[in-house]
Amino acid sequence: MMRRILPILLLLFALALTACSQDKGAVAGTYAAQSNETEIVLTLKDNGKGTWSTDLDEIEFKWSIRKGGELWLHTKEGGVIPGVISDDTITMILPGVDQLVFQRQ
Amino acid sequence: MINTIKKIVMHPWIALGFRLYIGGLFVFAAMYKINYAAEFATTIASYQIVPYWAVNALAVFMPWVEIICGGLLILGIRVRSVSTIIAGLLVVFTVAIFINLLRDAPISCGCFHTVEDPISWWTILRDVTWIGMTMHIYYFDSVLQTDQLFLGKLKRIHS
Amino acid sequence: MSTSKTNNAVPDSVPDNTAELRQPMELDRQILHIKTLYEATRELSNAVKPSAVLNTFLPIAMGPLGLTFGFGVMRRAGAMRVAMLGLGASDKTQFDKRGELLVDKFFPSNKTKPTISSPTVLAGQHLSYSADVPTGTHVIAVIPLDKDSHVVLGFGPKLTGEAFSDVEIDLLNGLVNILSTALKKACGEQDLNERNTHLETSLVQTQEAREALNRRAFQLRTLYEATLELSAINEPTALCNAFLLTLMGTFSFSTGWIALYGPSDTEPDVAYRGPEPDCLTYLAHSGRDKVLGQFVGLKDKMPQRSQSVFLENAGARADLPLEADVAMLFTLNNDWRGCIGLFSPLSDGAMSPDMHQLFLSLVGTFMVTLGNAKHTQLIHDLNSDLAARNVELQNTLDDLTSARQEIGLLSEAKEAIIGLVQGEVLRVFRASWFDVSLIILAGIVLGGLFNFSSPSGIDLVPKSFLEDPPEMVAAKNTLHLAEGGAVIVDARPSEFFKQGHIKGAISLPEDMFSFVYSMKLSSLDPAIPIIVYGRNLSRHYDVDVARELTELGHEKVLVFDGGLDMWEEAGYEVEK
Repeated sequence: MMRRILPILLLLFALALTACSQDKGAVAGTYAAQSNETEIVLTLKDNGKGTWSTDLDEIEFKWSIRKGGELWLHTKEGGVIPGVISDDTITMILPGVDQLVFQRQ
Repeated sequence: MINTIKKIVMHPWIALGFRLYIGGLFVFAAMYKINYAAEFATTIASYQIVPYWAVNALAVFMPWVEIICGGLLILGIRVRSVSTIIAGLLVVFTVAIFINLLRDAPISCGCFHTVEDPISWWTILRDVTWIGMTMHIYYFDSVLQTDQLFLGKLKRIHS
Repeated sequence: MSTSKTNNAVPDSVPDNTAELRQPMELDRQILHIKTLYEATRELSNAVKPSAVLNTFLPIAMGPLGLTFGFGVMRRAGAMRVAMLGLGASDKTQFDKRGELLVDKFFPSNKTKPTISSPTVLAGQHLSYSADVPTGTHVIAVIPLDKDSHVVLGFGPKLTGEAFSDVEIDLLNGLVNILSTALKKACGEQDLNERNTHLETSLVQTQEAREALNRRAFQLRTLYEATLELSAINEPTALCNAFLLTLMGTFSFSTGWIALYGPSDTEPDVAYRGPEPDCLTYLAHSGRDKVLGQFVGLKDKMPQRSQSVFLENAGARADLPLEADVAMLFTLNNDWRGCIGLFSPLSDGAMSPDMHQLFLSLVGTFMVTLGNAKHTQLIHDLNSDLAARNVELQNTLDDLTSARQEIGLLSEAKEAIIGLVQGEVLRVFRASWFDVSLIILAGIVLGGLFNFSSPSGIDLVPKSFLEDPPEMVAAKNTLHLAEGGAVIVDARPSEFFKQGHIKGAISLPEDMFSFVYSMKLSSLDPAIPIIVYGRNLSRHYDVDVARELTELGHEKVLVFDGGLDMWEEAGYEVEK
């Protein structure tokens, strides 16, 4: 019984995943923000992956869009960095860091 | 009057509604957790109940148990066993939330997504409601079950 | 009767008034009389038969006395005998008719006691008036011989016409006495002869009877022996053989055969004894039609059920399958018809009726025994059949028993299967630990597989659990190091940092380490010591972050495992 049900469940699961990624195309793109003297470049790819680049680092992450125009960056370590999308800007707050405003490039 | 209420309350169609709701809830909750296992591990850890060496494993396995249970509940397969598991999970969640409320821990529920409103007594009430629904399912569910469809006739076999 | 005189009267008493004159004459007469008496005695002693005595006596008595006629009627043992002399044929007829009455007159047959016990002579004219005697009868003499033998004599007048003198009467008396004696003797002899003859006849008859008895005994013995012998045999063919031997022995034949044919689907029973053994096969195979043909030929004389008939006709016997001098057809039941044939007798001569009878009796015995044998055979066959049926029945019973056992096993299996199915069904509709375990197991397996294959999979067991613990530092040293320029890093989630942290500590939550590090610490001199704190039951944030920092090139990364609690306990400053 279980063996019959599982493929169906997996299919449902896959469908749900595709449903989640419908708005990504609109948000995807390259954004940049200035913090102190550091320029941060945020690249959001269509496939839900993205990079956070500074002069020294390039951090990979996954991103997703939540309801209410929220952008979540899912870190590799299991954290979520929430951001707010409005038009071409993404506003983001990192703990201990000032508010970052990314402009679409 | 009481009987009528009893009848309505115990009606299997209500149980069916609960079943689909709880099932869908679990499938929905599990999908995010499966996708972002690391985040779920963080969530579990934030409760400070599970020893640190078991957190990751639990974060990997539990969403799958949830999704299987949710799916089986929607399909009406092994309803009682599944509702037992779901009730068990919900009780564990509720107790965990309760403990953390007492601790005044600044955590979100993490029930569906990583970032949510912080836990509160409302969360406890919501979970208890879900437990009640699950028990209703356990005792009163009988319609539109896949098991009933395939195995119901076997009940009629006599020696 | 008054004139009668007994013969005892002696001539002495005769009156002798003319003695001288008559003397020579008298003497002659006496001589004559004596002569006569003598003659009579002599003659009569020769005669054997009473009738011959009577016939002889008449001339002897009449001659000397010169009588015209004489007759004698004798009744002996109911038979009449008449002797006559000097009388005609009519008188003979008369005597034949009335002789009985005449004798009855003197010896009434209805009286048991004889009226006259000794010979008596009656004389007188009156006698001739009787109707029973011829006319002129002058003298009648009656002689009782024995109980039922009497004689009546009658004499006519003298030729001279004279009356009878006393002397003559005496003479007659004498003669009658002699006659009586002679007759008694003759009668005795005749009786003796008759008895002899009778005795001889009886002897012959006895002999014959004995022979007949012997024959009967022989037949009975033969029959008995045959019965005894045959009754011991139960098998029809053996019975035929034995009986054939008995027949041939009893009736002295050198060749014999018996053939018994039943319904066409049965084997015939045949027996043959003789010079050609092939005849047995011939009888068995080709004899049926010929024998049965004889039965048809007999038509209404055909032997019925359990009957036998001699085949008398020589022509018919020639048509039998084998030669036969004596042949007999018999029917056993309605179904079995047989024929017995005997050939070439050892002794000549036809079979006597006795032997015929014996033959029939023997065949009768044979048929009874054969019938019994047939019945025995039938019973035997039926018994065999019954035994076979019993075996069959037993087999059927065995089959049934095994089938029942099989059914028992099958129903047990059925019960077991139904029990299993019902148990399973009940389990399905019940909360079962098995299902619960199965679901959890499935979750573990699927989760493990998915996590293993997913690029964003995590470690099932945290690295900090497996690796060597990093360098630890106490609260006091931490403070001391911090005063010396070391950076204190709070690795806990930012919410906890906000609740309270070591004074001067930087929030570097473990779950967004890369981002925050890049923003805050990437430009830090690697030589500056970093002290990381923050752990709880479920996460060793400090260890994880310290490892990350070390990996990023920081030379001195320490872990203050006491955390905020220990810090507070030590009484150092906490920022909120």
